[in-house]
Amino acid sequence: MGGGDKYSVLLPTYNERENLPIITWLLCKYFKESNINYEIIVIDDGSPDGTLEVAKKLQEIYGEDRIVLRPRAKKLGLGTAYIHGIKHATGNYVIIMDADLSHHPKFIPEFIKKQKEGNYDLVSGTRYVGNGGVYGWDLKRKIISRGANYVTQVFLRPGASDLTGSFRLYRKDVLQKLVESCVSKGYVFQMELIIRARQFGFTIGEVPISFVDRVYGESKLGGSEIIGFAKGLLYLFATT
Amino acid sequence: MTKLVEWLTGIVLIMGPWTAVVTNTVKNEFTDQYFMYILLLPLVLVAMFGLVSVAIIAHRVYNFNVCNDAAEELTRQIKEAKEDLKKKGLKID
Repeated sequence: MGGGDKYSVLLPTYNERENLPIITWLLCKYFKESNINYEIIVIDDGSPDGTLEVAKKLQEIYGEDRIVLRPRAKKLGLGTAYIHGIKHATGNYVIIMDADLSHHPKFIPEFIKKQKEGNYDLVSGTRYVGNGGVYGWDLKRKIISRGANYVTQVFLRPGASDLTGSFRLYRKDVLQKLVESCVSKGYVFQMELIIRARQFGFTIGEVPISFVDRVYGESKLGGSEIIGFAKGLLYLFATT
Repeated sequence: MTKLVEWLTGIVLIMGPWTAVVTNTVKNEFTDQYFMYILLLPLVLVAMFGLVSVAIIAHRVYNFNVCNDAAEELTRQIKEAKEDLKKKGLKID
């Protein structure tokens, strides 16, 4: 599939000792089935639960050319994790995704196909269009998600349906340029990546994905996250 | 042009004439006849926008696709992965 193309998956991890083997197994399975050249770059931020040790065992199973370890000493944030990962990526395309199994690798061949169809600079997985969707959210979470997305669409008109999603395929040089120009953190960082992409005239394709949330009960979407989102939205509204 | 500037421009384009009418700077038969309606127009527009927005969000929440199949598939594949990895030498609890 695609002569000479190589896909680097950036996998920032923090306490993913149990999920990392599964996501690796799934990635390798779907890449192999579709005959895609790939590498998985695990960026572990000093997880105290032994994630790095598990990653080393996975390296023994799948090979050091497929599982690349680029750990960091402590939790340093997603933006810098991407920069760090890109520096070591040998592919010409980069895939960003979560390591907690909310994003399923089976969509990656679809991302790749979509990218080739439209020669897109980036392909974004969307939960809001087509047969995209979510599992594991209650009514309150759905309302917050759709509400926030609506407000973002009205004020920023981004040209992409899912701004806070983090399951995407980028051309490596495109992601590099975008990360260097973004200043936000958290949810807003993912939003800013898309907004800046539009600003720079990059083309965006979309693929519906399913998002399986198994940590909803444990993760927080409290007042501080909402305030952070509003501040970030205001910043993007005023500067782009 | 940033989105902020776009919105400010739009607001000025609407509120300019409105202010002129409401302060009687511009005054004619039409504005006299419909003065109350013109006065209330911005409020009505904002309220309508609010109602339409709530309706859109409610519709999208109601039709939010729930991926039960995806969850089942994942559960199945986690089991499969654990068994296969065990064979390859990695034990997961």
